[in-house]
Amino acid sequence: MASADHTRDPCPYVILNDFGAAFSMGTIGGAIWHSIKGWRNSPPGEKRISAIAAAKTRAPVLGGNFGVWGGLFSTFDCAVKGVRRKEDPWNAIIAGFFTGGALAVRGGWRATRNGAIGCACILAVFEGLGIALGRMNAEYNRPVAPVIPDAPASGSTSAAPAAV
Amino acid sequence: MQSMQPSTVDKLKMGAIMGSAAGLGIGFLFGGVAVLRYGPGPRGFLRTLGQYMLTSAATFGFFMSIGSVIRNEDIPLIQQSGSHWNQRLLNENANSSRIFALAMQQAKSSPRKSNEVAEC
Repeated sequence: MASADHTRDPCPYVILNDFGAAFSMGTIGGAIWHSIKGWRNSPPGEKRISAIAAAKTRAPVLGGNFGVWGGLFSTFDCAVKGVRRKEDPWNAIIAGFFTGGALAVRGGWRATRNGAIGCACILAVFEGLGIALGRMNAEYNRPVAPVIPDAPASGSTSAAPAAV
Repeated sequence: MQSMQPSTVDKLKMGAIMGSAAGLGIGFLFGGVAVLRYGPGPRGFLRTLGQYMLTSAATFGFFMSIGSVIRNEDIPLIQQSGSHWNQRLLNENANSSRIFALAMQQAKSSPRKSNEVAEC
């Protein structure tokens, strides 16, 4: 495809990249969050141990959830790109629709439908935000023509007597 | 002349800002649907919707700031001086936020599932 997004790894390498990135996001965020939570829910004297224990048990679970979602989304994104042969925001929305449906399929068709629509809405919000920020960025960087200072009026011109 | 590379702290801030903005939009969307379906509850329409939006913005901002720092690589800047929102950084943030949005929706939609997994 001629208009590929050069800021991202090409498919299928982007799938592995997003697996790792999403897992890292979930694990780091979960470690911070759950260590604070464990600290606050502990009696004095056991705060440090409880914070570390909570982070160790809960952060990998959150990381795994993030990784599954990120990897599956990238897989569907690459599949949609391969089928449509286009690069536009609809790729992400369609991939979000499939990802939400796939991960909610165990709850029955109603949960699948709701999960798919919900994920598509979330991706639509993000795509809209990206487009809006792109517009703002372009506006901020618009090239402005340099202002040339007015040429100073020469004294000889004003001093010249008017021809009668 | 080229502008300076955005530092890690700058990326943290921008990720938090973008995540909060996206979280506000998503909170408005899902909070509006929840209020319309289940009613505003004892605290009224605006406070319930506001809480949805604030909680969503805080959560998204927190995780997206982490995502922005994780996707930390040297970015060749070819834009004018003073440009702090490089297009590639915007794209990186957008991609991180997509991943996070999908993960967060799962966490919200099935709290019992996460509890079951945590107990294993």
